[in-house]
Amino acid sequence: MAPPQALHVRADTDELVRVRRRVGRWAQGAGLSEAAARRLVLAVDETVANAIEHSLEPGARIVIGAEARPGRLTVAVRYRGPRFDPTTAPTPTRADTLRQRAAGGYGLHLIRSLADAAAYRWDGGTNEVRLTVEG
Amino acid sequence: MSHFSVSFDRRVGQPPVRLLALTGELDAHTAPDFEAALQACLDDGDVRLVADGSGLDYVSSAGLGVFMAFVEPARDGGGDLKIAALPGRVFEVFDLLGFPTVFDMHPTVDAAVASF
Repeated sequence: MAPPQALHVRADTDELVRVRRRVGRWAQGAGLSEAAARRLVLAVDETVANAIEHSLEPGARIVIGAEARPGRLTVAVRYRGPRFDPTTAPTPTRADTLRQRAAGGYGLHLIRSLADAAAYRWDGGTNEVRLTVEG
Repeated sequence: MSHFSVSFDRRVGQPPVRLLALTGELDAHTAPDFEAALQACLDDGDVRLVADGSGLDYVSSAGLGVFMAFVEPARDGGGDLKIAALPGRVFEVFDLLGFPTVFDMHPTVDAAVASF
């Protein structure tokens, strides 16, 4: 197993591009296929964007870490803020969201669809979302 | 440096169709730019709209939400917001969320314009 790697970003949407670039490099380093890398990059983007927009004060910090195993990469998104579990939070079904032409609610669907495994932990005021993609 | 741009100064055909050419990465940071462009089109009275996605490298849910927010206003005005020429890797995201069941999507801009 490769040593853990981490990226610290501000809770601002202008950091998302830097998050995507770094996760892309981690995925490449872990030997993921391009398709698997794209899934992980988007799932992490959605998780971080969700944290920025719904949970955090501007200027707060988010820590994104990676743990690589052969053919598999886990990215952990950690931030202090109100408890929010994107892996189980209630969301309308995809069909209902589409029927209502709702402008929101797609991020949680994407996180759950794209990651091969998604886990959540609440640790003394810190949210941790762990997303794993294989392939 | 911005990693997204949208140009929307072209009209083609008769009655005219307003083209919005998207370039780069449409995410939670850049979605407001796309939203402002669509609003400007509606404010100009243009409701026949085609989003040219051929230059789009990436889309996340914030960008998808903008498409969804503007399709009904365009249709209510007698037009539509159609989506054209998405690269395969970007189309995959639209498809994952079922957007092809809501939007009129076309492989080329010409086909989208001709479909009005």
